[in-house]
Amino acid sequence: MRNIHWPVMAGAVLLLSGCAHTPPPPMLSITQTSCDALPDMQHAQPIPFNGKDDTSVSVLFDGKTACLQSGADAKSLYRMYRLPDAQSPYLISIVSVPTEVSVFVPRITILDAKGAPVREIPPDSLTFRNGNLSALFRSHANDSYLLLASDSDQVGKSSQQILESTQVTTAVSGPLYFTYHSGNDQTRQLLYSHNGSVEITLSPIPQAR
Amino acid sequence: MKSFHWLIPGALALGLSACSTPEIPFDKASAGIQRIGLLTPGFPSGPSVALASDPGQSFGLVGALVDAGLQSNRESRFKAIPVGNGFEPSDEFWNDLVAQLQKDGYAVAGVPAFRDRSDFVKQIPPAQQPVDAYLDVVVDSYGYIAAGIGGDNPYRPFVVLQCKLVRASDSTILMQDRVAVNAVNQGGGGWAAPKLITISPDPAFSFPEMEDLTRNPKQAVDGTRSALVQSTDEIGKLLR
Repeated sequence: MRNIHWPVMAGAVLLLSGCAHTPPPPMLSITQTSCDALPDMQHAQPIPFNGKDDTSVSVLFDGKTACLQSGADAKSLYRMYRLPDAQSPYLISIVSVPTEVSVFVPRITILDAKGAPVREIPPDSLTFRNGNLSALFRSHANDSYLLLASDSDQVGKSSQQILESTQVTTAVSGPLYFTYHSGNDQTRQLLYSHNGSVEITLSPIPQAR
Repeated sequence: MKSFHWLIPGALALGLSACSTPEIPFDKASAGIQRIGLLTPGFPSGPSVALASDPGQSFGLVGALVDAGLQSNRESRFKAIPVGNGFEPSDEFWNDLVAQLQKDGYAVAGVPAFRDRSDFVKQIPPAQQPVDAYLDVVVDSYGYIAAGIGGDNPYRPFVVLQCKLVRASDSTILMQDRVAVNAVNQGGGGWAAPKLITISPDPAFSFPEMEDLTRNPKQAVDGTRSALVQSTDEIGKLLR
């Protein structure tokens, strides 16, 4: 048994180290040669929403995501979503979660039932909310599809972020313990990228106090 | 204007409580708002100069009392700087906000309003002229904050505010949000509220020690002004 334990432990250590979080490198160009000329409506993923409870969809944009020929020389990764037929307006939140070095930069277009673009969420309305690059907007009556693509005009640009944080460290010595409060001031350069993690949430418009 | 210093540094470090103000985005296309009645903003009586963490916090009540004394000392030393440099933060904030709204095509009418604490106005007073909506802005705190002690944790300008646009005809909330320039503990599962708008401060305004703030009053004032302008820019963006 003793002889077996060591390989098992070594394997476990290797597995654990394999699980250590290594963010994917920023994708600044799309190498796929065959991209869709138009968004694929047929495979749009429906987002269910009952009008009362938040519904979230988490997605990853990476090298396996479909691409769109968005201009003569411009390609974007994209995903298509079918929005619910709601009786009243609701909120659409799109949150792009940064890694240490990069963040997926979205271009958000709303299409009608025939697939014609009805409006684009202005890129300059994107803002950082709690450190995540976010869009928050209301649905309109004729919103049928959400086209979420990487914004090739923004990819390669960057945003400087100053992050201030505090930590509490606890040290134990015998029956005594001691907590130490300290701070950290960090500056990072977030590169806008084609790839990254995004969360889409549909929610009712909150009743403000 | 009343002092809201009791909010500090708790609200600063926590990036404001997440529970009180749900975010409601404005939809300009459907709202039909052209004339805004701008309520007198809630504004602290003076700037704050805060340490988000320091070793005194490790020593219980005694440490907390020492911290409070040190904070009071920092603020009294800093308070003279805006005054001595002809800087009226609340006036400039008002002017920036009006300019920002007018730039976006709104007609703006000032509406005198009073509040007894750092919160939205409970009963909106009628405007002297017809308006489509009222904009209520509360600056909870502003000034300088450092994450901790030492030159690696410089003092940087900060602003924390909340804002709300209310339709005049039926009191519907058309927009509501919170904005923080230089929020502490944002991202990564930190303490800041999940949807708080977080804006990085201008890196040009970084003061390694408290003494650097008092020795460079003009830059200290410019940094405060910069953060306030960043916050009014964001309010303008929320109403586009």
